Parts: sequence; structure tokens; C-alpha cells
Amino acid sequence: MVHIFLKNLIKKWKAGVIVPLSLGLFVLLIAAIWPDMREAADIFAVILESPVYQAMLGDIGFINITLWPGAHQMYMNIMLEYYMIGVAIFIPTKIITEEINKKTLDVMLSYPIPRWRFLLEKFGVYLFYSLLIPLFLMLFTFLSTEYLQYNYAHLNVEFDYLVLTYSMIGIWMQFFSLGAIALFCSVLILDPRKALGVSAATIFGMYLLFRIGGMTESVEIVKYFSVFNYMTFGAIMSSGTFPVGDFFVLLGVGLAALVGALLIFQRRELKY
Amino acid sequence: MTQEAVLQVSNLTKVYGREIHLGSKKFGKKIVGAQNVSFSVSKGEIFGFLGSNGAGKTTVIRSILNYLRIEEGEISVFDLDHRKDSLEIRKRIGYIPGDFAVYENFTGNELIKYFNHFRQHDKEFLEELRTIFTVNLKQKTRTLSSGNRQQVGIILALASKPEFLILDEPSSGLDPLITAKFHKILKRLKKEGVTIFLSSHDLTEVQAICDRVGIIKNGEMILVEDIENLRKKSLQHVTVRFSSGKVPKLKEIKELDFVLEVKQKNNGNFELKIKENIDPLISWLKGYEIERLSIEDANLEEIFLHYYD
Repeated sequence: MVHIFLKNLIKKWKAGVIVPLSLGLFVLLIAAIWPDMREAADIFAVILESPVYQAMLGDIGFINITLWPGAHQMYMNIMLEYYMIGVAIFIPTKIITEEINKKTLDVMLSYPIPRWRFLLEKFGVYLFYSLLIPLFLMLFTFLSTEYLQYNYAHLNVEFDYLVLTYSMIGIWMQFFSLGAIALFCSVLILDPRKALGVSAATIFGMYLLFRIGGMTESVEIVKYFSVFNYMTFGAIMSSGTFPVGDFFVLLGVGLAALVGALLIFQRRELKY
Repeated sequence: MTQEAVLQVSNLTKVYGREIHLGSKKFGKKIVGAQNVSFSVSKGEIFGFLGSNGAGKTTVIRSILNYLRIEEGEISVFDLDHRKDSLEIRKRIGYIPGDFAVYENFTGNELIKYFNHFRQHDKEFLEELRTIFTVNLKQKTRTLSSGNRQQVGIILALASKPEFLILDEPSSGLDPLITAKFHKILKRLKKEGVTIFLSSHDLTEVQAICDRVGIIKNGEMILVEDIENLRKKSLQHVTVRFSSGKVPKLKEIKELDFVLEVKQKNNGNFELKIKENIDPLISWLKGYEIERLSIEDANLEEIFLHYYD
């Protein structure tokens, strides 16, 4: 029933597992250096007091890295944003454009499978492997916290796993929403280079809107047009609550883009 | 056509690009991929589809497969609408695209297994194909030569023994031995009732295995004809040597209506290319004493070139 999904899942397992795994392993690395790092936190605090840095870093500028959750959050914010931009631009865009580039689409679509299903199953592979990212991050956060509690008991390290779960749901929802937007761009354009350009411009443009809107109050409104503004890791960790409204915004945007992509791909002519 | 038509193409017109007129200015460009193309392919027939590069062959094939949206006309396969019933049609066809490519990180065997999920293979026939073709199916396709990759494509297209095969340059890159085996399979499939639509640049291939041929030029179907009739009706090569008494002048022969081309050889032979009916030649020759006469049908290549001149 889901042969395309399963076959691609197996064929892409190396990249699909190794990348989330390495992201997770970095959490262990941060945990290993954090006890030393916190001793130099005063120097960081002085730097972070600068309004320029605070504007550039947004929420991160107010993080207290002398606490383990703060250091963890700093890492997550910095690494995940850029990783997410890269993954969301390249992987979903290439679902179809790579088939066009390698001229494999004509043979595949000569078999009796609806185009929308072919696209959905391949997008499912992206969703599956992007789910591994929060799962690995949670696992390694747990292991890191255990390590710190065991080896540095005097630091009274604690972590709220419920809030971490909320923020991980947020991460995955952002992957879903951004991925669906990139997929939509790719089936609309089809031409591999142009599609990649449009996906990159759209997603990076949204990232800039989020950053610019966060920097200046007068243009704050622009950040609401960015997927990056919803269910952010930092905001969830700071508030400690699940942002239901944000969740539905991401779900709505993601579903609209995905359904749009499926409909367009099902009906459009494959001219390339 | 008395036999059931498996493929029916009527007035197919496909235009690429768009032209926008703003006042006296024109923006964009329209390119006609196919114009009023009509033909049909009967059950159990091998139909050869000829045309130069850019003539519109791939446009027609991709339109049949519903990859392209046509501006005008109708296409039906098994009496089903090519667009509305595309899924049903794809259950019953096999296809090799002109620029055949498959997933590079799959082995031939993996591809066979993978595509079997979508269109069930005829196990017995598949085993036969495995023995006929020499490609190593345990190798990843990215490591195969183009000819061997093409063999994988042929196996995939034929494995389910579909009722209708659409083959775009299927023997490109194949060695002569494999090509001969492939032609043998196609002929056998034809006997079993399989319909084959074969687009090819290899005119010898078309001549060897096709029943009818369609020639497309600048997006228009300029000819659809039975191969044998075409050869009979079209060009014929005549070599004639007149007895020494009365020999016509070269100029005189050139002026004859039915003569397309004439050359006088050193040995005294005249080589003529004549069109269609041989009767006017025979009548004209009656006025001369002939020492030697041979008449041969032109091959498909010459016919093709004649239409393309």
C-alpha cells in the first residue's frame, strides 16, 4: 500500500538517521563542556547585555546559560534554526525536482499510481526523518541531564521534560509547515534550479521577516507572516506552556501548502 | 480500419509557450509541438513512428501518457479517455521513455521487485526475459553502461506483458545481438496480440518489425502508411542498360514526369529513381531495346529522406 514510502525510507536511512543523530550527539557535547562554560558565563553575560547582540539574537540574548536548561536552549536555538532552514529548503524541494533532474519521473508515473499519492508518500519520508530530530534531541537531552546530575550533583541540574516535549512538537510542526511550503514551490515551478531558488527565497525570506520583526517594534507585524514565529523553541521553554494557537497556525499553513501541492501535481502538465 | 483500435489520436494539437499581445507589441513565443495529428494503432499491430529530432514525436508520446495537456483534439487508449482514465490505462501499458533513466541506487532486481507492486509482472515471462537479456540485475543501475541500463528498461516495460507497449527509441545503446533478440520478442508479443507503438530513429529497425509507419514533420503527421505499400508506392530504384542501337539521351530521361533522379554510370548503365507506379516506365521502355533491367524498392531510409526533403 505504501511501497513508495517504505522503499524511500529504506533507501535514505543513512542520511535520515545520521543527521538527527549527530544533532543529538551535540547535546551531549554541550553537556560535557557546560560545567566549564558556566564559569565563564559572566564574560558572556557582559557581551549579551549589548543591545546590538540582544537585537541580533532575539530570545537567546536573555537566556541564562549558567543554568543547564539555558545552555541547552542556546544550543537548540542556534543549531536548529539554521539546520531547519537548510533541510526545509533542500529536502522537500528535491522530492520532485531530483526526479526531474535525473529523468526518473516519466518511468515512475507510467505505472498506475496517482501522482498525488506518489508525492504524499515521498513527503511522508521527509516527515518521518524530521520526526527523528526531536526524538533524538529528547533522548540526548535526557542522557545529558542524567550525566550532569550524576557527575555534578552539587549543581542541582533539573530539566522540565513536559515543556521539552511541547517544544519538540513545535520543532516538528515547523519542519512540517516549512517542508510543505517548499514542496508547494517545487511542484508549482518544477524546473529544478528555479524551484530551489523560489523555495530558498520563500523560506529564507520568512526567516528574515521573523528576525526583523523581532528586532524592531515598529515593524513587529511582519514576523506574524513567518512560520518561524510560531511554536518557537525558546518561547515554549520560557513560557512553559503549549501554544495551542501557534500549533493550529502551523498546522493550517502546512496543510494548506501540502494539499495545494498535491492538487497542483495531480493536475498540472509535466513540461520540463 | 477494421480491427479494434487500441490507440486513437484525433486532431492532436499541442502548443508550447504563450504569446501575449499588448497593442502592437508581442511578448513571449509560441512553439507548435504538434498540429492536427491524427492516427490510430490497431490491436496486435506494430506501429513505427518516425520523425527527425524536434519533429514532435516525444510531444505526441507524452500527450498520450497524459504528461502534457493538449490544446485540441482527443486521445483514447483502449477506448478510454487518456486524461480521465489515465490510471486505468496505465495498468495496461508498458513504457520506455526516449531518455530512459531509473533510480541509480537500486539494483535491477530491486527495481523489478519495486515496480511489481504497481503493475504485477508475468512471472514466467519475466524469467524468460532474465535469461534473454545479458544485463547483471544484481548491479546498481548507476554502475551499468547505457546499453545495460536500457536492457533494464526493456525488462521493466515488458515484465508485466502489457497489452500496449509505448517504446521511445527502445534499442538505443543495445548491441546488435541483444537488438535482434529484442526484435524477436516484439514480434512474438505481436503474435500474442500485444500492440506496440515504436518511435525510432533506426529506420532499419522500423522496416524490420513494423506493420505500419507514421512520419511526423514539424509537428504534422505527413504520412501514415503500411510499410509494404509504402515501399511499393514510393521510390523505386531502376537500373537499365540499353542495347547499343538506340540509347536515350540523359536529358530526355530527366524530362520524364515519373523520373525523380537519373545518373549515367561509366559502364553505360542508367540509374533512375522513380516514384510510385512503375507502369509509365514500362510503357516508355517499350520504345527501346533493353539489355539489362533491374527494379528494386527503395529502403525506408530513402523514403523517409524523400519526405523530409
